[in-house]
Amino acid sequence: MAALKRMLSLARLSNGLLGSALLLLVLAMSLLGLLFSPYGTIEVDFLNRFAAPSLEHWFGTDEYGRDVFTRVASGTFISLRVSATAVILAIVAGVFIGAVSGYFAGWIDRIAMVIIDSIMAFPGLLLVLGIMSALGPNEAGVIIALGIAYTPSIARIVRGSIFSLRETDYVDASRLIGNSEWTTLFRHLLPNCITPIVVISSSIFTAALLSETALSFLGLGVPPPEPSWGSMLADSRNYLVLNPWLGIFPGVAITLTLLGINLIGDALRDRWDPRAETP
Amino acid sequence: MNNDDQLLQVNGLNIAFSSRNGSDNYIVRDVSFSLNKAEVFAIVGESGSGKTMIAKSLMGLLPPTANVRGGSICLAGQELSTLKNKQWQQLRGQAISMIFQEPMVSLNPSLKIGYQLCEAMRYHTDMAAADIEQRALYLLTKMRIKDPESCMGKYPHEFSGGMRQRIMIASALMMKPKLLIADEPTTALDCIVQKEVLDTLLAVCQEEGAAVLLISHDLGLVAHYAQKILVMQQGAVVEQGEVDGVLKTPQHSYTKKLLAALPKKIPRQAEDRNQKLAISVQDLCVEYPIRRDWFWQQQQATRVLHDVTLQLKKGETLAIVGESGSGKSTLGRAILQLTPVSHGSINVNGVDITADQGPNFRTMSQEIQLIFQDPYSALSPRRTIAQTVAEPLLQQSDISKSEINSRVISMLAEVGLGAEYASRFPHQLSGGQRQRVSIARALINRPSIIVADEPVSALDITVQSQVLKLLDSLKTKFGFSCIFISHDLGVVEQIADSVVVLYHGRIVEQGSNEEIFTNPAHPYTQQLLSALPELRSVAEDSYQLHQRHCTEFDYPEGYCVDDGAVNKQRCMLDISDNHQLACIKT
Repeated sequence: MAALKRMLSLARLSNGLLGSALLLLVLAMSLLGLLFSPYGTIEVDFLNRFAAPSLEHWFGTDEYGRDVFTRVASGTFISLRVSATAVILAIVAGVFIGAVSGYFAGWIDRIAMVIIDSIMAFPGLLLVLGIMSALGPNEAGVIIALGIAYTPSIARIVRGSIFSLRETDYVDASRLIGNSEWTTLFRHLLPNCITPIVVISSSIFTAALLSETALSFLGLGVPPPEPSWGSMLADSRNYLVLNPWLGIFPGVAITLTLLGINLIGDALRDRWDPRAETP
Repeated sequence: MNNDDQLLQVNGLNIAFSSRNGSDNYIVRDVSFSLNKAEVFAIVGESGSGKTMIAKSLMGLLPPTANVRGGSICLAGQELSTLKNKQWQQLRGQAISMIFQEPMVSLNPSLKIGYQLCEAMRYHTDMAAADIEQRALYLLTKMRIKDPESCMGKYPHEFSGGMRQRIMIASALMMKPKLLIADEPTTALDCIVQKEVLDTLLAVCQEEGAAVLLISHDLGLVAHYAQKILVMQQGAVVEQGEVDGVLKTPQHSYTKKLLAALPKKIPRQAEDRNQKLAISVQDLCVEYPIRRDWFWQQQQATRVLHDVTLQLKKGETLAIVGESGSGKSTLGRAILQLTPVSHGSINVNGVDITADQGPNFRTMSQEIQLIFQDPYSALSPRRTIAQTVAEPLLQQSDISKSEINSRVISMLAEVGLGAEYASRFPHQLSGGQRQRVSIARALINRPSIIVADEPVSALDITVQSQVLKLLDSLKTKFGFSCIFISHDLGVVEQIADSVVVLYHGRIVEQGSNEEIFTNPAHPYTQQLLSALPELRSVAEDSYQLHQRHCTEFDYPEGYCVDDGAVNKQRCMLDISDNHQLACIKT
């Protein structure tokens, strides 16, 4: 019994290590690929279409003869860039809205919550599609749409934290010193609400990444010919039976990246969840 | 000693926490004592002395990382230190019972009282449900709960703290345990409720023939109720014996230190105070809005303070005394503009703060500051001590960084903390140290008035006396006036110049320290004073329990006692030079 417990605790300790290792693997290979690949991402080679994975083309070539490895490597940075920016946007907007509405309460809170609830009422992908149809199919549009879609979850968490902390003594102490309400909010209350945000940002990151992939799959994400994992998956559908490597490699890249981020998020939560007891 | 009388025998008990790197952390070392039947045995010590761990080990409720590392616990011939979980389940509730410190969380909020009371008996015995209910009703009546039948059908949130504690005690006594462990049962309660709860607890235990193991940090309580005492320090037994003997002639230096730390009356020189007023409160009324169900209903309010009139003279310490719910914290907060005022006026250093529309903290921050009750929530957890103490200085725009630093270091030195504390975080400091930081923050701008809201209630007795000494010395040095809010009359007697007694939001009596404590006139004041067990020093290091005797006040013609009746004309009667009493004009 004790031995099993020790094995499990060992496994839990390396959640963060495993996750970071996976992520670093994907990033390192992508970086190497982009820097040292002899092929361009959109360089076509009609004589070499559908080549199987070999020493010249590590992941094979696609229907236009483009090197799949280089395209997957390039797709890494596009997907990660889009999701990371969207998450940062969501955090900034969500923290501000949640903090203001939680601290000042009253009618500001009512209005903000109505807006937040309306956004949350729409199914995620539908909302993003709707926003993008207004903004147009470009990278900025995807980022803004995804940012708006994830703002409500962060806003609600921050608002809840602020509600539970606004009656504490140090808030009163800050007012008594003569600080303005904004100073009290940003100097004293917000730093104490950061921990749940860090914990949830990893799951939001994976969700954003998956959404971006789904959008590209549907043809609504970053427009071609920029390679994106989702669009590579979509294109591979027609050729999967005879040339499975066209779908396998982008799929594996997506899986490893998401798994890595999830494991890191788990490790962060284990360390920083305020409800977890320190031994 | 007659062995038949002996109920519990603990020999050489060791309890340790096992940590991850294999080393053991002993929290209880070689503790031995014995308890007789139907006896009240008290374990006394400060936080960290291990007394709660001993209690938990007697119930088999030690946390998973702690275990008994040697020694024996023998209850009526049965060895307890080697029992397995199944055997513990048989024992708990039946032979040993325990009541805990926090009445607010000790009862399950989703279950009715009746269900919780009968739970243990249903599990352990084959008695019929009706019989079990009868026993529950009998015990509730014994614990002086009004209307026990309807109480059985109610939920815990419908009762106050004192009543919940009494219900807890009733449920612990259901199975007629031989031993009842009471872990600081009244620490969270006011002194009058405390006296009621303990009186009923011990009376019922006497009747049912149960022995009581009373764990407390309050020496006065222990002196009043217990027969034997065990003093613990850092996990080891320091002294034990009969209560009277230990108090009269304490042998160990730690016991002497604990007894010396008790608040005692210091004879105060009658200082000739200039009659300038620091704070003047006139007919103050504070109301809290009651939540309304529909927005078209009229907003109702409950009045928390009624027509409070008091003055704070420059340089004096005014104590505001009352139980929870009396409105003393609200009064303090109203003076600081943290709570809005519905009627009346407050004048601070000549400025009428109730005249403006909203609170004006910026100007008032230099004049009046607050020291909070809870040292754990008064400091922001993510700011260092230096940042916290320096923050009031940031209001001044023309102060340089080096000057801020030097003032922070010197202020920390004033409160007795070295410069190495400046870069630490609050969670690295103890409760007493955090309270000192709180004091440093309040005093760094040298305000002329300090409001201290129960500053020492959450601290151990030795730390409490240190912080009080610190406040006293700073007051002499910096010369501020102080409003001291407290429910602990012992502390009030030690430090206050004048006392105001609040009851249900009204002032019932006010006057100088000597007058209030030697001639209390209002029945509520008398009740408060008689509920306070007082240990008086009869000689050097020798203490005895002292009972206060209060005589009923003789009201003059046309006045009678103010018993809280509504729609009667009230007034404050001048009994003597420094003593006023609230009464009703007949």
